Amino acid sequence: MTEKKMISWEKLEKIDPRYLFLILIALLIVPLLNPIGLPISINNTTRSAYDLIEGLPSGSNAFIFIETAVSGWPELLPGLIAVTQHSVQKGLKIVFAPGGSAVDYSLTMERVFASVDFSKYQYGVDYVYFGYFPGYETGVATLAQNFRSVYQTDYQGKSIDSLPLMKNINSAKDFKVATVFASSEGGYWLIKHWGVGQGVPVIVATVAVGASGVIPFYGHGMTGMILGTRGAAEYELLLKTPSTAVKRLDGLNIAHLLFMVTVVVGNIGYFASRGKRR
Amino acid sequence: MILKHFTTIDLASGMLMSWAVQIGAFAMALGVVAIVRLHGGYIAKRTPGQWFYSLWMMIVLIVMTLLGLHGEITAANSLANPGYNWLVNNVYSALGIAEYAITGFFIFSAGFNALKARTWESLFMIIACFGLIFYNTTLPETVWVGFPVFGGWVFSTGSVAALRAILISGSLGGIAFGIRVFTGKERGYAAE
Repeated sequence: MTEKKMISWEKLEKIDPRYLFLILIALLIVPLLNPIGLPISINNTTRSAYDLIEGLPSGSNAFIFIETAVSGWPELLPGLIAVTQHSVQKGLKIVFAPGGSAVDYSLTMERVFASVDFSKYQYGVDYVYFGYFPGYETGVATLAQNFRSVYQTDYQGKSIDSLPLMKNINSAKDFKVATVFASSEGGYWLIKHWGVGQGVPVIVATVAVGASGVIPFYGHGMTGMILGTRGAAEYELLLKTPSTAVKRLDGLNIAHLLFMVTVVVGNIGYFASRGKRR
Repeated sequence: MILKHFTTIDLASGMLMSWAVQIGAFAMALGVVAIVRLHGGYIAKRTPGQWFYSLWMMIVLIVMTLLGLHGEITAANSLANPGYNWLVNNVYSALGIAEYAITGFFIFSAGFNALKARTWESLFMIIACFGLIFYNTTLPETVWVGFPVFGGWVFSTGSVAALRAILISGSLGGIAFGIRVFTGKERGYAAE
């Protein structure tokens, strides 16, 4: 009898992960199809980001640095769309520039242009889209000092000097806000070279795993932060346009709940079987 | 560069950074040469279990380079080539998404297997892990609204203090290491 019990405890400790994966997939699909709509409180970091853009006068220059590949979409794309939408609503002049890990940036930009209403915006006058710049951190630092040493043309091959919006822009100091959507090191680069180096208010939207790395700069080089899916969901709620991130947050909740349950079950199994072994 | 950061003296930092960007672009070419040498060797020697993958890598490298160059030459944009664009959008990106998504499952099973309270340290690790989940998800705040408030305080106060200490000491160590490399006192792996 005792031996039978011990065997069952050991099984509990060593559940085949494939069963866990199946449960995880099933639980992730349900809230995507039928959002639960759990309440979401707003973190200070997200509110700071929102307030910064909200407080800018119409016509201010905003820099949006895309440092994520398509693989970062689940956490970063909803935030990118929300911030761009907010910037357009506020009438900001937007400069988009991809770099770092954003090698497939054209797909990201296609999604942004398809999701945000740019009908009242004129290309070259109200917004500009540059192609990929090389150099990673050095590229970001160089952009902060001299845009034209990195870019001579925009994404379409038009000369930078032929774009009316760029006539008065040549360094970080010409922007009122810089936002980065980073799945890698992009947050650090913008904080160091634009936030601390040039005094530009910086918003960092990062994948959740990167948050602990940039949080030390909150209030000192980083004005606001949009933390992964939750941050994007909070931003959507602040904009009063709940969308993709709010739906995904339900899935995130359930996945993490399952994770905690499995850790607890695994520990119960571990202690029970250890006691029996003794 | 240090003078530029801490003073108003510019010197030639802007020019140096422009150089760094250009050198970085050229480093890509150097990377290609290194890859061709390495994998070319595998193919020439028919290294068991490797040469076929190396050959496939070389084929992909050549195809992507030629298609990208075609777009650059004809329209000053590699993505203007439909073949290159199709491969990036439908192969590279799809594989990237799949790879990133799979890590979620690995983390799940790794957490289940590793997060066992075998020692006091691992127990604290589990508590910290649960604390972060309570802060970063919204389900716990349906039970108690104080979770995000308390979690936010820990995250932006205790965590920030510890991380700043690590960051400052790491940066000072990096500067000291750099000085030792430049003065020839550091002859370890990274300096050679």
